[in-house]
Amino acid sequence: MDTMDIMDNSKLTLGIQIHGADLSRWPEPLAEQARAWLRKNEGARHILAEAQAFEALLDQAPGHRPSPALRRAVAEIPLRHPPETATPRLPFFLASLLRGALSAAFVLLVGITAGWLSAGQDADTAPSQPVTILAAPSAQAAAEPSVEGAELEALMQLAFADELQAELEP
Amino acid sequence: MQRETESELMQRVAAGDTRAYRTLSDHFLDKIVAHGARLLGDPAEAEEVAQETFLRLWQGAARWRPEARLSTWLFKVAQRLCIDRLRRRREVGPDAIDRQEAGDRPSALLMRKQLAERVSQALLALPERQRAAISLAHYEGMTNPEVAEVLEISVEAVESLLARARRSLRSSLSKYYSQE
Repeated sequence: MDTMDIMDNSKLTLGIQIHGADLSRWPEPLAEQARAWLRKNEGARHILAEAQAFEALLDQAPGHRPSPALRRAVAEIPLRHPPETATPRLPFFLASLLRGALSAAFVLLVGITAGWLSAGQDADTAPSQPVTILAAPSAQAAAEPSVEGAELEALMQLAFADELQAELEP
Repeated sequence: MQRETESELMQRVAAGDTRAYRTLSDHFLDKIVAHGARLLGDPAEAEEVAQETFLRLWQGAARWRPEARLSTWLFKVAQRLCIDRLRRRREVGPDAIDRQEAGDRPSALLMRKQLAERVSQALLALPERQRAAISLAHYEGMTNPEVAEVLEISVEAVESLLARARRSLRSSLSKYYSQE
């Protein structure tokens, strides 16, 4: 309700209910209409005076003020909740490159380790194992003949997942 | 507080500047507590809400968007915290009014105190959204669009809440302010 074609006492009352008795807080076109009406109509002036008395009554209950204990507690928030040390964050594309490089390095390391551990068990298949691992690490893990190599791979994948997660966290 | 000043202070708070934080908390603490007390009818709970609000200010400063107005953001946080608490408990009824009015020849100070209590009880008797709207608009001096932003409703809805709240309050407090 920003403008009214014709102001009267019922519209003045409605305006007071919506915007309050302080005409400076009304939308200006409506406030101007109200002021013009108030100049002409004594009943309107009585309506406004009663509304102002009502709002003065509301002001008798300004509300609870903060206790000294609360003021102290709020002031101490930074001490009790120190900001975390910010770790420099890489731009997204650099982070992606880093993840790719780390993935490749991890797979290579697992492959070499698994190949080395398996070298003593099966000399005929050992030379092809590093290539197979690089091509399909999860499939290789399932077919890994060496128990020690599979356990090692699982452990390193778990550790690496934690590292990646830490890198990605804000 | 000017919006540019708010933005500068929030950037400093985000950088861990405790003095900037104190400036903001000193400026807004009274208003947040008063609004919470009007909404909850319990000063102790209002203080808990205020403390939580300023903790979120401190911890959330890094995510602050300069186009937002800090006062409306703070009141919005406090409002949500108050609503959560109200939903978890029964609202205070108006029974205390009759007990407050007992006694003969109270002093002027006591009468003022009783009047304040009467007004507080009348506010508490309002539905919570009307209470919130009148608290923000009348006591905190917010414009209707600002109240709409805090309460996350339309301006038209705010106007309706305010009109109903003022009518209810005038009805329950008429004998205390009537000029006839």
